[in-house]
Amino acid sequence: MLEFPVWNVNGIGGGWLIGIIATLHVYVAQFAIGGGLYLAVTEYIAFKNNDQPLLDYIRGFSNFLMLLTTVFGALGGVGIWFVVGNVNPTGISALIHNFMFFWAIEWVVFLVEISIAFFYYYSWGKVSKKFHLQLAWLYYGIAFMSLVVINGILTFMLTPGDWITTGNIWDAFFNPSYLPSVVLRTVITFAIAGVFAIVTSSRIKEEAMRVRMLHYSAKWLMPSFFLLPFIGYWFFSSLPESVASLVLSGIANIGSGNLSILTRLLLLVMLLSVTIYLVSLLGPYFNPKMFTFGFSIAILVLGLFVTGATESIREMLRKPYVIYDYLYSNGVRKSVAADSSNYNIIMHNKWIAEKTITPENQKIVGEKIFRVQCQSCHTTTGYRSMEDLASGWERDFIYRRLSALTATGIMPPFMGNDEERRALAEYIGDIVKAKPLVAEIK
Amino acid sequence: MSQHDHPNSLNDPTTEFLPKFIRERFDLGWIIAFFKHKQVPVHKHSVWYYMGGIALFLFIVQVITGILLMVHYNAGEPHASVMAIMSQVDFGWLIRSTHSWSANLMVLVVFIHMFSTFFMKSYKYPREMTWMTGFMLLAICLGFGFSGYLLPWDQLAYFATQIGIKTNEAIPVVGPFIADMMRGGKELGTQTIERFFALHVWVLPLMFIGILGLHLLFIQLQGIHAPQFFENLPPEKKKFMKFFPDFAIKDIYVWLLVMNFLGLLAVMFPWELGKEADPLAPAPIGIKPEWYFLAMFQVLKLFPAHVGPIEGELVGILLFSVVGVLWVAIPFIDSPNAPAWRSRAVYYFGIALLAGIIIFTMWGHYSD
Repeated sequence: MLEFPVWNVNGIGGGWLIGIIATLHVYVAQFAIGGGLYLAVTEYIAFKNNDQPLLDYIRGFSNFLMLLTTVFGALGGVGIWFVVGNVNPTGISALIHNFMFFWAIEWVVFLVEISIAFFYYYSWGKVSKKFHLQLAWLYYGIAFMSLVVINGILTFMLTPGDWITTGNIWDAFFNPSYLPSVVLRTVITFAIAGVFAIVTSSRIKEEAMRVRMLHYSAKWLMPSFFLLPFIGYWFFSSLPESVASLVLSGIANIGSGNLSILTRLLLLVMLLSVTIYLVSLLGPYFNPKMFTFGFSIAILVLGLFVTGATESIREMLRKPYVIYDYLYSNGVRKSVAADSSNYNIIMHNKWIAEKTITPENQKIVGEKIFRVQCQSCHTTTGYRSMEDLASGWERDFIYRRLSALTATGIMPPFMGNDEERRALAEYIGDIVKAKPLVAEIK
Repeated sequence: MSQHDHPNSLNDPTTEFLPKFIRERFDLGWIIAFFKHKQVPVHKHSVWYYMGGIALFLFIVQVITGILLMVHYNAGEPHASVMAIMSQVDFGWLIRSTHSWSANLMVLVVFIHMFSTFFMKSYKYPREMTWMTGFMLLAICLGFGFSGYLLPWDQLAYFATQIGIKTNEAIPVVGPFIADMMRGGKELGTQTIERFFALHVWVLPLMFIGILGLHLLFIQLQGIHAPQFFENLPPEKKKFMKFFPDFAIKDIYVWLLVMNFLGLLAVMFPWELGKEADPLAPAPIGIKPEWYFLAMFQVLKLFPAHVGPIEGELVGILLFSVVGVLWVAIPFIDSPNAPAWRSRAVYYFGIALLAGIIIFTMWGHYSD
């Protein structure tokens, strides 16, 4: 918030931009892991039974996996770094500084992963079957390692645990939700592998083989169907009490319709997941003969929605923090925010040129304060826009509301003195075309 | 007489999946044989065959959610009771939101079903009756929409319904009588709600179920229509799918997907309830009817107050009536003996109507 310039993403807002790219990336990245296991297990079965048609299928599948994960997955990963670095530089900076060596390990792991993926694919028929199978297992092992590493960083953002007081990197990495999250994601990767395999299987021209592979691939969704409720509960139990109560109060209010976006997303995840399992059971599992490519794409898209919704839930659980209890989503450290009303934002921020507020520059300063403090979550007229959220508010009310933002439970405090708060209120007042401040009328 | 002398399905292998209790009491083999025998043509436009099924699914959703809403809806206190459904009745918000969204989706799907049927020329001999009952179902759907829209008795519903009824009033001779009958007097009030409620939950559903039964019966008796290019294929190139179980299973996939989409809309974009209607308040600026009446509304707006000696609105209504009659009569205009030019004219008429509906709906949506 203080050290970096801001990136103005009006319309959908920076959060959505990250969300869209991250969802696509996570979906494919999890396929890269689950797909690795699918390759290894299926090749093992084919190898054991000397099943040439199955080997031919798995060879084609490995081509699909290699292309999708190394091209799309890699591009998505770079995309996330680019967007996150621009939207929330302070947050990404904190993660880089804390997890320097873990990032290094992650990138090495990724490099090895794609190298083996290429080696695996291009060595079909050129090395012994046994060695090729070992390559498959090696690929899965390395791909799984990438999950083991990145999971520590992702869960740290939600449950930093003892790191807050000890500052110990191992406390940060092996944080309270680390283990349940690894297990949760691992099981999800099986399901995603199954979903992608259903898509590739539905393209097989020879009917008997298509039926067989659809039936086989649908089985990959079953472990997650039975295990996810239990693992989900385990993950939920590892969350801080305040976060858990956010979920529970949302669930308690489902009946009365007092729904937060978090609860809506939870409902959506349940609905979409149940449909994926039902369609997979009724289709590829029980009636593979009738299951067509179009329906498999429908499952794939539903899976993407579930991934997006669950990742959004994980992000929302942290609110108002980007690193729970440490760094607010707008890049303000909790320790700095302790004395928020005496903070002098325009003096501290090097990207606000105006160092004094005058009646002439008040709204310009207000806009800059908005960009620095609010824009990581809000837009002026697009997603989570001030135009909607502050609609019908008087300038006086906006001004008072700014001093009580934490009361919402999902917002950081306003950092700035009275004069700066007034400047921001004026700017937001202009967006919603509010009447002039009472003080000015007098 | 032995226990199993009456017709039963005990010795029919095709009914083995049914419980013995049913099999020993009923002879069901012929039904299974009928459905197994029934085939669905497989071709590049087969996707449109799902539309009727989707509309049926949405109607089932309407019936279930409608019954649940009826439990708590009170025509004497319409707005307050809907408010209670939304805020006090457990999952009332979800039921109402699902009901409203599925109603809108149903109208949309019925329109799509109608136009897909039209462009595949499924209305032609001998399926004229299927086409006509289908049109009646669309009309009843619109009636459902119109009557249901008023029931929450909020500001928008009140004024939009008032405009709708006043438009009908322009019909010569019977117009004022119809309008008075709908309102239950000269003004919209409790009488109107009670009438609309009765219409919405009794009259229209009974009509709908009856005509839907006929519509489905005709389809079962005549089989599923295949487009001309499919009929022209040599027999070895014609592909068919068994209706039962193959097409039926696919129908279930589609229903599940539609249920998802419906759930997504109902959960993420819950249907809102406006302020209670205040007949003395000025009408909200730029008030418009629901989207499925927007095209007609926009066309009516284009007419001047008077066209010669006739009221503009009346000319509009006459125009709609002519188009409606022509549309219903299409199977007879494009009959098997009709010359080619007439068949082409019907085709262009359909394109013009579809384009007109889309253009005027969008125009109505974006205009003030």
